[in-house]
Amino acid sequence: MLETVFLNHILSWIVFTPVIGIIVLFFIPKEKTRALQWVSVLATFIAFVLSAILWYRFQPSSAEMQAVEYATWIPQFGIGYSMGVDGISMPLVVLTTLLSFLAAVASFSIKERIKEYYILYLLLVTGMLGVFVSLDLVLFYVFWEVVLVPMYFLIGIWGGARREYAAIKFFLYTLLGSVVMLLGILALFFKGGAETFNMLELGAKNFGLQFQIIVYLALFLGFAIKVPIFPFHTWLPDAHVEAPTAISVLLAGVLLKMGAYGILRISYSIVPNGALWFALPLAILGLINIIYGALVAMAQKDMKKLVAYSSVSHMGYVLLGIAALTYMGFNGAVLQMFNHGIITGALFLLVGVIYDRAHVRQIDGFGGLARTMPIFAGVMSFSCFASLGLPGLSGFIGEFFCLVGAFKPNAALSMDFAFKAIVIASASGIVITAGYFLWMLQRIFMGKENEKWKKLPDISGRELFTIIPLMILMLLIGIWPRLLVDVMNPTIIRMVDFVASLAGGK
Amino acid sequence: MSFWIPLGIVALPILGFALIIFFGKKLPLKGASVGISALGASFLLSLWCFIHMQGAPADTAYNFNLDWVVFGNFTVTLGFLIDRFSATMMLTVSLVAWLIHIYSVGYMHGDRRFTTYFAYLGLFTTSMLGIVTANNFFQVFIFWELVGLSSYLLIGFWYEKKSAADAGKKAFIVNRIGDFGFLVGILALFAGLGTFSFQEIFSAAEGAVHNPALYPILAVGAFGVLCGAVGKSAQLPLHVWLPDAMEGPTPVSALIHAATMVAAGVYLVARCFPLFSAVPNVAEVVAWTGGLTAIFSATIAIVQVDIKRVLAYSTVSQLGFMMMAAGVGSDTAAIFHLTTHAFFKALLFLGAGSVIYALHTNDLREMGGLYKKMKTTAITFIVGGLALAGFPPFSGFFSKDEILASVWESGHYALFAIAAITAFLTALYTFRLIFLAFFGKESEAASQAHESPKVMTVPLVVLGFFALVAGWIAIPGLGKGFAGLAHTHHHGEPNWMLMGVSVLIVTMGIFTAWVIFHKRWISKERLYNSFYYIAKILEAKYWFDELYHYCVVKPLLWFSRFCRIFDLRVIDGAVNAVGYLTVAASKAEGSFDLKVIDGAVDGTGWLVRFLGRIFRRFQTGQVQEYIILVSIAVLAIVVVGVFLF
Repeated sequence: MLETVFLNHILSWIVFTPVIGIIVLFFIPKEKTRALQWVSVLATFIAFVLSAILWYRFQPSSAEMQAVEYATWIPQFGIGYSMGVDGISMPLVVLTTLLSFLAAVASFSIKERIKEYYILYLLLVTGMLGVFVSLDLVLFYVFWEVVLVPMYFLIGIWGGARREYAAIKFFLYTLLGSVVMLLGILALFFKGGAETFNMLELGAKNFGLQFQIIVYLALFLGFAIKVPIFPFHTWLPDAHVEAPTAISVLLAGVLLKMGAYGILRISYSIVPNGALWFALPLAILGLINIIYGALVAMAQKDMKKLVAYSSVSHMGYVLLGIAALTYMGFNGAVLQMFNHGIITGALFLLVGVIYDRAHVRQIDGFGGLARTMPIFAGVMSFSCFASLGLPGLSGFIGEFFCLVGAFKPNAALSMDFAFKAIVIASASGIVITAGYFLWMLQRIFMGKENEKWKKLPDISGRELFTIIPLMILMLLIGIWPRLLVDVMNPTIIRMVDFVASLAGGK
Repeated sequence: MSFWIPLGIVALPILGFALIIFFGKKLPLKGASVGISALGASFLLSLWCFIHMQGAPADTAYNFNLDWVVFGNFTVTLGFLIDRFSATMMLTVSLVAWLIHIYSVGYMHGDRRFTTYFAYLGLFTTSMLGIVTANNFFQVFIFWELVGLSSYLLIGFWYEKKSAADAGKKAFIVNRIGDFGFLVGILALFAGLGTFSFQEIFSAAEGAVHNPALYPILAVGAFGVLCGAVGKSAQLPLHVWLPDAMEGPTPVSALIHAATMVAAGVYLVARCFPLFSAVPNVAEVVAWTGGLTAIFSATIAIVQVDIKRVLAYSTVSQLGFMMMAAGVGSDTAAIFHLTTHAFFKALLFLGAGSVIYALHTNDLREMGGLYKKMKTTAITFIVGGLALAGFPPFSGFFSKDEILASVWESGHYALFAIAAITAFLTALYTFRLIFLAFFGKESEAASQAHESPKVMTVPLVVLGFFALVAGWIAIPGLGKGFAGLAHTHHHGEPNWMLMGVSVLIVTMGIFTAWVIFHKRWISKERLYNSFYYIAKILEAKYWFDELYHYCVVKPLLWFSRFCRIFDLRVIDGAVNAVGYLTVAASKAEGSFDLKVIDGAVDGTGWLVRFLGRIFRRFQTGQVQEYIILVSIAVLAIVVVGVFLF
């Protein structure tokens, strides 16, 4: 009974637990604030526990898809309800459930239209989880779009002053990307011959190079906007600045990963020759993201914008690691995705803490806060150092191995020299990154205590509750990266070998 | 030896850190007791290691490895390398750190963040011990950065002062510039040799004679190591952070910015001796970087009026000396000087701290005649000064002499001349400091001064003892000779002539200081006026800070602002423009739709109605009119028909 209903369909349970939460929410009157909040927190917590069970049952030594589910859905078009996780999606599922749970707790600071908020919030969570477990392109696309709609309303209704502009920009920009992506998906379907949307089956097909390049580019636009890759990144700072804290956390922590995950899962698996063809441009875009993002971050006056641009910079390492097509690069990239999720999630939570108290986010307006809010100062400094790649904390591992992995790219690419130059240029980003984070810390926390903020209370227990798990993870992964790498490695080996074997017949 | 011994040595201080951070305020001595006992245990283990290594054959090396993580098919390992070299370093670091922990109880007494201070000290000590025990570059890099972090935290410890916060930030960022080079070096070595391990890289370097293809890889790697060392050991051109780092509490300056952290760069270059031997060109760069830094900062030290800044520039200069030795191939002399310097420079800083504690000022011009007031401090300070100047039989004499000898014997005569001049300058500025602070007329501030408490003076005495005797192992017949500290390749007989020259130079330096700053036979003011421009240049520290401010920091900030505007106006502008154009186009289409398309629809309707209105006229409902119309029509048809046919 347990086996058939529950364990064999654990992915569906994980993905749709939030939907069950939504159904429950429908029956709760909207004045019952506490009940609404706790039901939502419970729904996300159950999803988190289920994903922990999934992790526990996951066979790390295997590179195969696990916890696979299949049901026919629209057989006329070869569309199936197909789900599974491997070493790449497993960490991202856990990342999503964890951040969703913590952000649900952080959402207690939302004071108006709570019922609507949580309904949309839970729908968003289902969408994000679905993206990471779908093995069918149509299912993937459906979840991809499901993410979009609640996000639009969450920013547009509960956001800051320019929320409508930011929400529409986010929606249209992403929609543009996903429509072009859909064209790519349809092209795969029609060219596939077998007329299937199943990713694994399509991955086994051998498409012509021309076709692969076109499809790659179509998919790439969708993913690039989501990551976001320069020059498609400008929706991000606007969306972040306007979004409420919890939504910023999910936006940076999970949504950006969807883009990079798509590149790995779809582009590299189904149109590998297109991906190989685009390896060098991807690495160059990674370099631009790293350096340009860091430079723009340094000039920001708003804390949230600074963190948003730091995301642009950090996602650059992911691109660099992916482009190099090495074991270390891929491992570094997925590590960086996970770590960026927890670190930037924490940073957005922390910016939210200060914003809830002071109602401003201008970096220059503060000063001397280390004395007023010592615990907050410690936690914030910890997270900033994790983000600037301090060894011992998780941010370092991803960055370092993305660089190591890209410095000697896969021999199949035969672009040794170009990658070396790109990596050296990218590595200089560590100086700029240290620069803007330390400068921000100095302006907020150091110097004379500002009379205006002398009364601010230190970080509260509930706020600490949302951040401490992330800090523990930063430390744990920083010291013991095997926690993730052991799970990822077999899948990554298989994937890298598969793509590399297609290059020049090697 | 068991794996647990180096692990204990490295990990104990950070366990102390964790305890203090979480429970510090409730622990005895507000947490200081935990720091002191953790460090004490670490020191005892290091001492055991040191004795053990001295008893073992000279080339004994214990290598401990731990598989850390597997990427693809490559296993990244962490581990410890314990040989005589690291045993010496561990002993020096843990001993000095321990004494400074004890001293700090007095110096930091009553500070608002006393507990935090001890936590940071523990974090630092673990990082530093991590560097000297690592057996691979990856691990060195990890602790290298952590040392940077603890240095940042401790320099900016009094963060409410803007200058302190600025100095901490500057130290971290300047260090990261060096680390960028170091990182590239590590990447090159890993890409070329497929390993981070010292052992494997060094054996590849030793085999490079037979494999010239390795040369570029090794050269980039060695140069990267040099970059890292230049940053951490404050060598030209990245020396600018160290003088500013004096904003930190004085015991921190003694521990981190004199005895240990800044020595990490020298340690690493010396540790990578086989690497640098394989690429003599890079080694040459190392030697010249060191030599130039030595003389450059010695000249600045002469005109400084802040007691800690004199010592800071002196540290930069002495590190240059060590770097020079490592560059000419005498890693042993470098490490020997590193060790003696750790003792006497820590002593000098702690002595200066004792003076500052008593007087509440750093300014040499407000000191004078302190000898009578603070005998213990003064005597130990003079001991440290003699060691720094390199006067026999104090420790500095032996180690400096080794460096001079190795530079001379390697045939770098120009560098030797630089080193000799620097030795003279060193004696001069050291005794300038001593005469100004401790002798001469008693200043107003000095008349109120008292000797510092025992918890501060006892570490001074202990360090004074080591500053005196640490060099004696180099005396033939005493112990195993200083080669026992590190490696075995030590050149033969002492060079008596060089020793004589070195003593002569030092004596001249001290005598000059005595003439100018004590006896005042030559007026300082006249000297200043006759060398006015030189003095100005020295006081401006060769304008390095200004140079960087206007040529690096400002342009970078400017460029970053430019990028922000570019992002806002051009990139996002393009997005908004697309949005705007779409809206405009749709509006245009909208009005086209309204006017033309819908206009056509409306027009059809209008036409029908118009025609309707016309034809309505005919629908009068009167039969006579209809008959007339029909008759006209019939007539018309008939007429037309007749005409046509």
